[in-house]
Amino acid sequence: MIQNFKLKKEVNLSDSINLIPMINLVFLLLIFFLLTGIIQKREDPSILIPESNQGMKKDNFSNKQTVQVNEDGILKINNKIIEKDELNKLKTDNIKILILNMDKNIKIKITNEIFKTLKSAGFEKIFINVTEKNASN
Amino acid sequence: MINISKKNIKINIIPLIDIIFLMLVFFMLATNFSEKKEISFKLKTNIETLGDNEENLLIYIKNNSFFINENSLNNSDIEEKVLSYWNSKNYKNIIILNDKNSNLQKLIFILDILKKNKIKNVSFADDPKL
Repeated sequence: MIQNFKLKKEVNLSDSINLIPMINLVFLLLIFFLLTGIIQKREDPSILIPESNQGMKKDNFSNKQTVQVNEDGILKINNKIIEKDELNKLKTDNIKILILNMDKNIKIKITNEIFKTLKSAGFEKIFINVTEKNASN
Repeated sequence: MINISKKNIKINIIPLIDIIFLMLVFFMLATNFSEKKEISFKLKTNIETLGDNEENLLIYIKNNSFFINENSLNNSDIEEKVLSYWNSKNYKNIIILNDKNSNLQKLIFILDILKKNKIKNVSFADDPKL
């Protein structure tokens, strides 16, 4: 009886559970995330991206700038609030592609004002980020 | 001389598992699978130059509802009705006019319908009367 008790106490956890299948699975998951995932900056979670089923996937542009516009029309570049007039500087900064991350609940009136400012700044074409529309909507 | 038999040598794999788990958690949290898509807008000249004439089909967005010739359009049959208006006359352009309360999602919704039906001459602006 005493001998049995001693034996049980000496058993190591790694000896009793076969960890190899678990390691295999974890490795597989790791490789999956390494190969399929894209590590990128998280967007501002307060901005609800508009839904569209006509959005096109664009190539990675060089000389691009993303401007975030929240529901109240507040403009941000790299999480720094900017004034509308500062959009004029983007063209002089050699920004060729302008991508707007706009909230879907922003008033069209505010959107049109931003577009007018961008047009006067010399931008001919702009892009708005959208998400794939769900079939249920 | 100390003789260690091969049977007694064990590799402790717990630290390895710890590191792999940490890497897994990192990649699970840091990766993003959602594909970014964009819609493009050509910034045209002032909409007022297009004017209100027989060549332009005017779609109004008032309080997030759609109207053509004062007729309200439901979300369910909007596509059908817009196309029937578009084909009824020899329209060349569609102008979407919005009030100050409507939101961007509504504009994108109607632009999607027009793009899906390959209607290209579409402009939008604030309606000064609304």
